[in-house]
Amino acid sequence: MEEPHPKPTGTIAVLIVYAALSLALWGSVYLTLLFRGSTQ
Amino acid sequence: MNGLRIDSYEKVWMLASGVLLAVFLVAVAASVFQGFSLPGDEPRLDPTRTMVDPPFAQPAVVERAPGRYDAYVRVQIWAFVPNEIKVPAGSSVTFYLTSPDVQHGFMIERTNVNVMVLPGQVSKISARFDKPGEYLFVCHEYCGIGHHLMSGKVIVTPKS
Amino acid sequence: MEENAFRLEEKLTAWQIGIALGALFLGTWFGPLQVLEHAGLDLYGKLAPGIQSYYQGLSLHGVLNALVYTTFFISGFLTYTTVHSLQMKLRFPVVNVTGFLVMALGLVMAAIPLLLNQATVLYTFYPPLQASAFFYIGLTLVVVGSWIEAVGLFFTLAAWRKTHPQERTPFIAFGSVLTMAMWLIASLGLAAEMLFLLIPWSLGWVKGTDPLLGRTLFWFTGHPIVYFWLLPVYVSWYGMLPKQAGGKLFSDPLARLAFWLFLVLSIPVGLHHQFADPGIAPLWKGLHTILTFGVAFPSFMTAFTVIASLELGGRARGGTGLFGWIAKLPWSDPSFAAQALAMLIFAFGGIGGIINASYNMDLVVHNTLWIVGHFHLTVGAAVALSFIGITYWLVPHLTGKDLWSARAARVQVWSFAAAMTIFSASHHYVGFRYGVPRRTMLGAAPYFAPEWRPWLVVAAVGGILLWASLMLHFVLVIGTVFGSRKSAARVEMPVAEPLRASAETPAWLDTWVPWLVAAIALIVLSYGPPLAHMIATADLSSIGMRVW
Repeated sequence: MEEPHPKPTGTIAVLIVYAALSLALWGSVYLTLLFRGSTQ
Repeated sequence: MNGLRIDSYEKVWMLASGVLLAVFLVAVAASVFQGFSLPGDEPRLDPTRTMVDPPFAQPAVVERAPGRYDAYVRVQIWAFVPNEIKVPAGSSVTFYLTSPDVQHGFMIERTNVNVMVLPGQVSKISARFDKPGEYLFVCHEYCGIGHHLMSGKVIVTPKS
Repeated sequence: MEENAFRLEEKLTAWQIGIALGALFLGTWFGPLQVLEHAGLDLYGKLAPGIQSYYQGLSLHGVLNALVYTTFFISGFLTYTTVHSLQMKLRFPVVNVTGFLVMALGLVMAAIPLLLNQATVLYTFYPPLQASAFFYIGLTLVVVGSWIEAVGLFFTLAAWRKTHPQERTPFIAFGSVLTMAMWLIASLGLAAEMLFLLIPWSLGWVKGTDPLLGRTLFWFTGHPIVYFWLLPVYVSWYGMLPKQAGGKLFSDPLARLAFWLFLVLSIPVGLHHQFADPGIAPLWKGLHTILTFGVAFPSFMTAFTVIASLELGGRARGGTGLFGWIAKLPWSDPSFAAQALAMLIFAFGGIGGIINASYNMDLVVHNTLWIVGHFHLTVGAAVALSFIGITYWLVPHLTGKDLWSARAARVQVWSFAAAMTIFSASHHYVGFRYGVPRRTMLGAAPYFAPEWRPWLVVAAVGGILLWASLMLHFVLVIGTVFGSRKSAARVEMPVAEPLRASAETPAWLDTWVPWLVAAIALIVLSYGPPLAHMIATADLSSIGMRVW
């Protein structure tokens, strides 16, 4: 039996912020790669 | 899954993070097809003959075609040979690097030229220099007491 | 069990954690020296002839902090957690004690050449730079000693399982033993590099070596070693912290599944440290990229399960709304605060890690100060700050004394987190924006650019504050050990209870063989062909160089 508990809404909220931050930071490095030019 | 109960919120997150990772992978793959490649697997050299065998015995910049250069650079304790590479703006340069001694690095500022240089191996990577100016390159792998003295520059002259 | 049932085990733990903290103490002093040098103040002349160069200091900093502090702390901690979680003494104590003695011998053997400037090769010791043979032999003994201790823990778990058939392994013991099992497999690369390349070569039995093969064997171990560092932290975050937060472990089965995924996915990924290397076909670099993204997944799972577990605690303590539970967490407990801050910092280390692992994106940051910023967030904060948090209950527990000052401990924890943020953010920025190289005595570099300086000054402030915070940590530990205030009630190891009893966790999450087979199969698939090719074409002609 699982103990009754509140839904982890706070966790999802924190992780949405985290996912958005990850996307933004990853994206900025990706764009920098593209800007600095092809290596072939 | 056999008897695995997962909270619905946790399922959503597992799916979302999977999608995020997949998006990144697809973007990376697309860039690879656009020519943003890593150094690959070039034929090996005899590291004991780097100072005597061509092309690294007399490393030089060679123009293969108008605006297309091959730059052979021997990276050694504690200097780049040559340490100045001069090309006109709009040139594509393919760098070939090796070391006769220990591990070194080669990184040109404001470009994606960023490679390790190993004895017996050839590091091949290219860059296109559109803007005139000087582009510093340095060694970024520890190679002994004089490591921080190693630098050079790509000098890009204005198109005449 | 009676109070003193675990006397031997706790002594073994105390010795190893003591050595770990001693190593961290020594290693930490080089931090300020390095950041000050980068900012323009070279103090190395004052250390001569004790320390001969920036690079010798850097070698000591890396080996003491990243290899010795971690390995000894983890061996001590996991010995403790395993026996306490199982409520069972070590099966063959002589095995664990022998392992520890071998580690200690190895440490002394490696330390001597390091201190004598005969092993100024940094903690990665890439050939053909060549250190004294005793350096390589010493480090090998430290690794072999850890294997012997691991085997001692395996025997102990096996004995427990024999006497508790049908029961689920207690989570803390499970995570601890899995960490050692993963490490044993992971360290085979380093062991091979030592036994087949570096030791015969440095002893003069073989004239030359193959640098790329050496690098590749090193990084076979070099990536999973970060999980050897991280999984004990996860044992605490999953298995202890929810209790400390007044909550429960949100999901016992998913916690275990995350650990199994780390066993399978930690090792077949090491080529992501060699994206910029010549001599390795892009196909293999690409495969390791995909597998690295795979190993990011159990860390994403961990983020959810651990945060949700803490949320249960925050809400149980009266938190309401989307974020109100955060403030209601027990921030006054320095052990909790340290680990919660470590988690927050690790979030950024994780993003950075995914960026570094994204194949060609590594070209933007490889071997720049960005990488230094990254690993200080991960091993420097996620791991070290969590270990600091753990000592704030473990040292009182082992000594029977109160923590010397909870308030000072809170100051120490928060100052560490702030200092690490300043240090790491400035390093990330200057590496990303300007490509400032790592592993370099920047203050003496003729190419030093004035735009770098303000950021390196900021970094120096962070680095010095980090040192100060760590000194306060040592004061707290010593104050506790030698303090006079005996605890009224003995501090116990926190053990989190799951929402659903672990008896309901399916047996396939407590069965070793299939997971071990999967781990080995993936290693063979991802490393077999490139290593076979490298070994077949190996050219052992690079002679050793000692150029420092």
